[in-house]
Amino acid sequence: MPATTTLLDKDFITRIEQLELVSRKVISGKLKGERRSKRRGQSTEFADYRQYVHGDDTRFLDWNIYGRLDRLFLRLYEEQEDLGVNILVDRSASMRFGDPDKFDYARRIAAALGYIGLVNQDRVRVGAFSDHLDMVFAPARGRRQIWKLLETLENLSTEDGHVTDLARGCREFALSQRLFGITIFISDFFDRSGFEGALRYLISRGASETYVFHVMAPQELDPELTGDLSLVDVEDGVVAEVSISQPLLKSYQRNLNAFRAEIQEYCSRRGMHYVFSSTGVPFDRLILDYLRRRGLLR
Amino acid sequence: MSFEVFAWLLVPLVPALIALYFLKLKRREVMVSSTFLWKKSLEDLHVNSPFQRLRRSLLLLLQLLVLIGLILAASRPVTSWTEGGEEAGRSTVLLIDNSASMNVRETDGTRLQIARRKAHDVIAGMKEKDLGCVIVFSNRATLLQPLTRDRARLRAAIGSIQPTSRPTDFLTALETAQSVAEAARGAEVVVLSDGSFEELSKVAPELERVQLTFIAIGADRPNVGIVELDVNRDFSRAQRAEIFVAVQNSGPDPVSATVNLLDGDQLLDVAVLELAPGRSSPHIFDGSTYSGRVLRVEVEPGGALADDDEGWVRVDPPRPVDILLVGSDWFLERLISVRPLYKARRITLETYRAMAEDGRLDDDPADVIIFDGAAPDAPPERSALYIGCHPRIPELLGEVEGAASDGNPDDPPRRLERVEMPAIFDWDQVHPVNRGFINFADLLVTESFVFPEGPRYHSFIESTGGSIAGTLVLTPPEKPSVSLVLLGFGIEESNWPWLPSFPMFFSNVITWLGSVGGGTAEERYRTGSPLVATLPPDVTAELIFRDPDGNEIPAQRNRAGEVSHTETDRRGVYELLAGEQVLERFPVSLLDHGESRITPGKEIRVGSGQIAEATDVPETRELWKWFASLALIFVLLEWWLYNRRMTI
Repeated sequence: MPATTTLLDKDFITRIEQLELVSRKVISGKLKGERRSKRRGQSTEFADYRQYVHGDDTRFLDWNIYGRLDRLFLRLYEEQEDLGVNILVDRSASMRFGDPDKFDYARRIAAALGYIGLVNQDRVRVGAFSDHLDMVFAPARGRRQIWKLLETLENLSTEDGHVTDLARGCREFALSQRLFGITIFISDFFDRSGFEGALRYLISRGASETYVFHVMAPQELDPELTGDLSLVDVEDGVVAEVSISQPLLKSYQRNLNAFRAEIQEYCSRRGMHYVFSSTGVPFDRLILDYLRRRGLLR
Repeated sequence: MSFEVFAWLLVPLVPALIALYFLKLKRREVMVSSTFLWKKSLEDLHVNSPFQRLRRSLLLLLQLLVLIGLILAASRPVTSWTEGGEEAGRSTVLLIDNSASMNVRETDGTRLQIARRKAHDVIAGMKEKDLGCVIVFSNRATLLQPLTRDRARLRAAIGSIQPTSRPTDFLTALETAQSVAEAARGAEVVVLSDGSFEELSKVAPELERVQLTFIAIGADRPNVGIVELDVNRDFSRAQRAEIFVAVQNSGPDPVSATVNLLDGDQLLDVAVLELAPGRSSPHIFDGSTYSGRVLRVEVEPGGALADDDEGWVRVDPPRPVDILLVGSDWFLERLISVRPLYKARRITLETYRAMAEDGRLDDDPADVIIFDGAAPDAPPERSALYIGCHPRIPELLGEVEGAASDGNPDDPPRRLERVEMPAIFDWDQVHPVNRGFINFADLLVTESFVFPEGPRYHSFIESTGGSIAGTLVLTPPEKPSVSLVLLGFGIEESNWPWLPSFPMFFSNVITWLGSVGGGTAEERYRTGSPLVATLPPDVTAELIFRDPDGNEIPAQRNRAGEVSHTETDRRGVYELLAGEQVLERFPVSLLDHGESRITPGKEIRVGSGQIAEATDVPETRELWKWFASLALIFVLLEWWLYNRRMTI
């Protein structure tokens, strides 16, 4: 465990030590890990019985049952596999907005989930993108990688001057390695070209369980703007001249809610988990409470 | 610049402000994570349309409210305000006399100046919620300042009062004050005057209820003044003009007064009069050789009042008066023909009607027509005297006729009521037809018509049965006005021929009717009375009245060809000019017994009626301060809001 990190404090780390990431899908890891796979395998953890059929490995016959019942039953054991944890973080300039900062919030989610994965011998890799992808943390497993992961995330910064390209980031991430296990995608989804193409890449490659984290700042959810303003887009510099009024704010809220609902519907239709969070929600509550209830952690 | 003009100048600023809002709109730049959602919202709202932009702009709304507040303040709106209970203030109507007698100089200024100072004292003594009002009066009353709490306005109104040489008509002043006091539900009327006017013994009941406070101005001072000045033609000698002067001594001691007759500064004649205390004495100058001139008469020593020390009179050249007697007998013809300048012709009523029908009457040279005993229904288009008869016209019969006929035009018009043995108790001594101290006390009348009161009728003989003689002025459209003298009784129905007033009255009537009807006769004018001249149609130059101080006032001729001037505040000679040519000169003098009697009255007796003190007092309250305050509040609010937005 690292001596110090600004992303995760000591108490929080203590509380997530016992957590593990859960995938509801049958996954096939490359290496045997500490994770119980839904595939029946050769670990010592008994799972079930089934009748012997010809060709079965006779080493797994339960001779005690044969003695009592005079029938052959095969003992089944849960397979122990390692779990892939793919984390993709939006590092576009728009993420450096809000109080608390969206990018910090995203990095902390990545750090916490990556930490949990490494602690549980899962294979963790982290990518960051704006208009291109950088694989900032190559696939690694084991506690010894925790420090590296946290250091990487701490040193990760937004890329000013680069416009968000969700689709490209997701495509490159998906093509770089087959996705299995769990995929964590963290973004504010501010991409004028849309989000659908991007998410499609995440589900088209591999059999991972995808969690889409939609992060927004309180200032975006409830803008405290008044007067006659020129709103300048921090990424592409596009200006919107507005006279803040109650109808305009209501229209903004309507569009924001529709935007969220659109992403959520897209995700639920395709078996992805949509997790929306304001950076105003305390981070520990999101991890320890909300994500446990959603079944990502236990 | 008046407030109202200022308000109109501000109105165009409203659209200008909105235009400036668009032109000078400076937007603050704010960096946001994405304009993606904002753009979408803008498209939804179409907020780029001007009215959408304006709709919720609080700053612009406040700026418009500021401007509207300023416009409303500048337009000085007023509201009628009623307060109830003990919080309501008292109302005071200041009735300030600026007649000629108020020009008497006391030890500490003229009486008018003293009255002004005392009026200021009254205002200073008013409480905060008290209302005040200023009326100035002489022979007319002018409301200078309606009821207000604004002390500055009241003081300004008092300061604007100028001295005049007008006589006093306290009844008119009291009626004006009463109307204001009634509106204020029982205001106190404070009269600031020297009280040198006649008591009002017979007034309407509402005037008796006026709560009067009299502040007497001035002290007892001797005064000698001209109270009568007139020119009369001798009965028998047409060329002889008599200038009649009466001088009054209103002081406590006998005075020997010198009366000078002057033409400009040239002394023409002198007379010395011994005047007993409180009495007047007449003197007659021979003015036969001064035809066509305006002469000045002055008295020395004049006493405390200068306005009555001089008088002016115009001696016109003699001109015959043509009189048409209709239905009369030889007696009246002979009586009139005694005077050399009066030329009488006698015709029957039937002849008159025939002349009226065939148009010969229009060409008849008669200046005055006298109807004796019978008259046609329609009056002539020139001055006329009706003896024992009357014209049947709505101005005279209107109310009586309507009551009798129920409005049916086919019914014959009803004659006026008649009264038997009317006892004469009052007559108008100052009316021109009663000149020369005519006394009707001995006149006995067996039967007479009674003339109803009307706006155009002026009674000059009052009897127990009503008015039995008076004048009626008719103003036919686009024609000169016509004066009628109405005697309700025939000569044979009275003992008049045996009385001294009989020839004098007829002489006066013919002189007056000849004058007002366009004929020629010596005129005298008093201050405050209108100057009227009838001009021939060939006068086309610009008409100007020039007052004694040299001020020139443009005049307009009315449709009847008359030109008039009513602002005769100053005594002296007024001139009517057509371009540079003097058309007519008007001698204007004070000639008022009451004004020359400058001893201050100790009390004013109008009646003993008292009314309860007001509880609810309506007032006219100005609202501009409220609107100005609102504008200021909006300015502060707008400034606060602006700064608050800038610090977000």
